[in-house]
Amino acid sequence: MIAHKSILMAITLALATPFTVATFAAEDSSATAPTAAHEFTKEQAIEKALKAHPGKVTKAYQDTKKGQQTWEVKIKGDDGQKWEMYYDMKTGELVAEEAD
Amino acid sequence: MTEHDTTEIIVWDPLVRLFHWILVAAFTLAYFSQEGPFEDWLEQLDGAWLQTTHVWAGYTIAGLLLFRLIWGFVGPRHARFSDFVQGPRQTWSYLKEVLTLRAPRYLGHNPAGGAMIVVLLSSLTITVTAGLLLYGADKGAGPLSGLMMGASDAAIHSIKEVHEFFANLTLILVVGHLIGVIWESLLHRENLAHAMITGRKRA
Repeated sequence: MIAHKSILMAITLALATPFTVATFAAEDSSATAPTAAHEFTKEQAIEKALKAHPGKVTKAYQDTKKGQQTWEVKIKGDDGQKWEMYYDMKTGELVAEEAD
Repeated sequence: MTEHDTTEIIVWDPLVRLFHWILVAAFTLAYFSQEGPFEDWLEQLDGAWLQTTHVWAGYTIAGLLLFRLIWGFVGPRHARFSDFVQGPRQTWSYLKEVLTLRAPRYLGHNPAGGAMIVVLLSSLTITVTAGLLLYGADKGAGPLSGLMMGASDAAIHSIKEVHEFFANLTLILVVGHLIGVIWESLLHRENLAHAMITGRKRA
């Protein structure tokens, strides 16, 4: 009975969390993996974002946006509006601009 | 004091307890790694780290929900849905008894607690599903990226609204769950939170 219970527990756990996490992790590796040399730097992205929306930069980090590797710059605008700006890490092109 | 008064038995099996406390940790991390009441404090932390934490906490919750669904059918007696899921009539009638301090004590989940579990698990399932859809559509990442790539901005906005609404609803439900636990603990003079740690309850 105890052995039966243990096997059942092991099978259930194997089916659930580790499996799910491992599956997602494998598919997710590209989202967090660092890219090669960035032609467009984080500092340039911040500068560009501040020109578009003057204010305080609260965060600037590497993020994916619709499959593209971008610099995400979050700004608390002087106008009271919060902005999220996404710039392509290779070209510096604005990929998305969102008001929060 | 008789021996009968102090006899304790295992009610919550180890996996139910692990599920419960990992879920508490994962939901807390997922919720508070995004914008919330600690926004000013979060500004001090690395954005990429917060994003990764949020996504991984979400994956953990997805795995836990899958586990709980299976365990609800094959687990020990008090872990099974058949042990604690009751109809609306019984649930309402029990809630009335709770409010009038006449509710009987249950060894496993009482009807109100059982209903709360169903609602909590449903709300979490919708939150996680919307989160995965959003991750695929907005970031082009995660297991649903192939399915969701090319989604319109309006669709992304709607999915985000659903994700946030149900995350907030889950938090409200958690507060309701805590009130229920405290109320029942006082009513029946037993520490239900402690029982979820040790698995033991008075027989």
